[in-house]
Amino acid sequence: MTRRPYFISMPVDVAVMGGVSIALYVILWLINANARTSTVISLGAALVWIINYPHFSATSYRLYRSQDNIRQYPLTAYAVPVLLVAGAVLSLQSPTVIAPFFVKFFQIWSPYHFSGQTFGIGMLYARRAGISLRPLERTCLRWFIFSTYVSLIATIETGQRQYQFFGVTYPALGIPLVISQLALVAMYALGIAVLALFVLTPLTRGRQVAWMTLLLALTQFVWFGLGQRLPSFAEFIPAFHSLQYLLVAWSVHLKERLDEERQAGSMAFVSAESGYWLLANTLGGFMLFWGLPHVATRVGGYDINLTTAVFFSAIQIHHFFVDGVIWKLKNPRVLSPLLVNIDDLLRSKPSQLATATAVAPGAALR
Amino acid sequence: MPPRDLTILVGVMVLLGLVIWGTAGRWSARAIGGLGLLVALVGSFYLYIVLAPASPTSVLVASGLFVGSALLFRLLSTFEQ
Repeated sequence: MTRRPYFISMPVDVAVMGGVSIALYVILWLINANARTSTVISLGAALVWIINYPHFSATSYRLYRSQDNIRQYPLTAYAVPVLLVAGAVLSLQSPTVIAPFFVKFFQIWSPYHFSGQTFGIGMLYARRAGISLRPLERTCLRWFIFSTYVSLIATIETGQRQYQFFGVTYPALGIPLVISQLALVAMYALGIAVLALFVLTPLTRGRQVAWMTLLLALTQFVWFGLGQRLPSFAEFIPAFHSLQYLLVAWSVHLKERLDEERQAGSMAFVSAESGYWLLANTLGGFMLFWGLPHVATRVGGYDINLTTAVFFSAIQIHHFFVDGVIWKLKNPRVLSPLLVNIDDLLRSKPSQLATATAVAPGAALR
Repeated sequence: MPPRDLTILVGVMVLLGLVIWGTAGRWSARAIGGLGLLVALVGSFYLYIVLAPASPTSVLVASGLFVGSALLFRLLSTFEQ
């Protein structure tokens, strides 16, 4: 296999992993599109069906389509869904006491999950480029990325505000302003440290710069550090996060399918399997995010807004659990396809695919 | 605050605790550790419901919930590892 840092190509990977996010932010900032207009809301609502929901479905699909995965992670596969269904039922039964905090729990967990993915994919690109990050660089990158999370939550949760999610109202924690300000200072300080370690040091020592890793970190900063001040942009952040995920998950799926089928890479296989995978996950997303709330409303007679809020929260919390394990497959028989690229998928012979993409078990997105 | 909802949450914690007790020695350490984290998750959720209403007026509670949440998510990233 040719070692290339990109899943598809530099322009496509750069666009998906952050280029489009950053470009949109700059455009919206330049035209001062501060308002969350009806156009923005409509576009955001359309994207969820083709990007956001399929990305959740892709996670479940990856876990549940393989008996090996289920056996390896039985708690994630069985116990967590049972617990979350119990949480959902409790929330539906208690819309003013349990439901607000079920929703809130998911709301403050979600950006943490985004941060984990940013770090994981950033590390993955460094690995793909053959760059070995030193512990200090890893730690600094991790702390910077998670500092954007802390800063975001500290800002959102400052003061005595109320938020709504499909009609379910939940309060801000009321974090003191000083924590928010300290978090902001820490984020910028760590950002400067990351720039020094990832750009200045390699350039002065003639080493390769992990540009894609930096792009992921910068994108995270734009999402959480800058984007929250621009509501028209913030609407699209989940879609951008999902898009990153879909590119990696799609690539991994194709590689696994090629290995399972012991086929050579070809355009016909990639096209057919991609079409099937996209269709399955679009339908899966529809069933999860439209089907479950509507079934609960139909069966239990609950308000559709309440069931939507509760099941959206439950599905996403499940996603956080599943995502935390499926990218850390430790089964030695499973050769990780995380280093594969489109040329390998299109042209490699079965033996090349099976042997050349071996990654240390546990090579992880997170 | 209706005690029934919170009682159920405590009941779930007790149930999970009993599962851990009953399966200790039979299940792998990884599975037992995972169940332990689920107990921590349910317990944290319970604390959230009980303490969050007081957090806007208490710096200590607000900060504790904030830091506690982040630590819990960090712990949960080791779930079934």
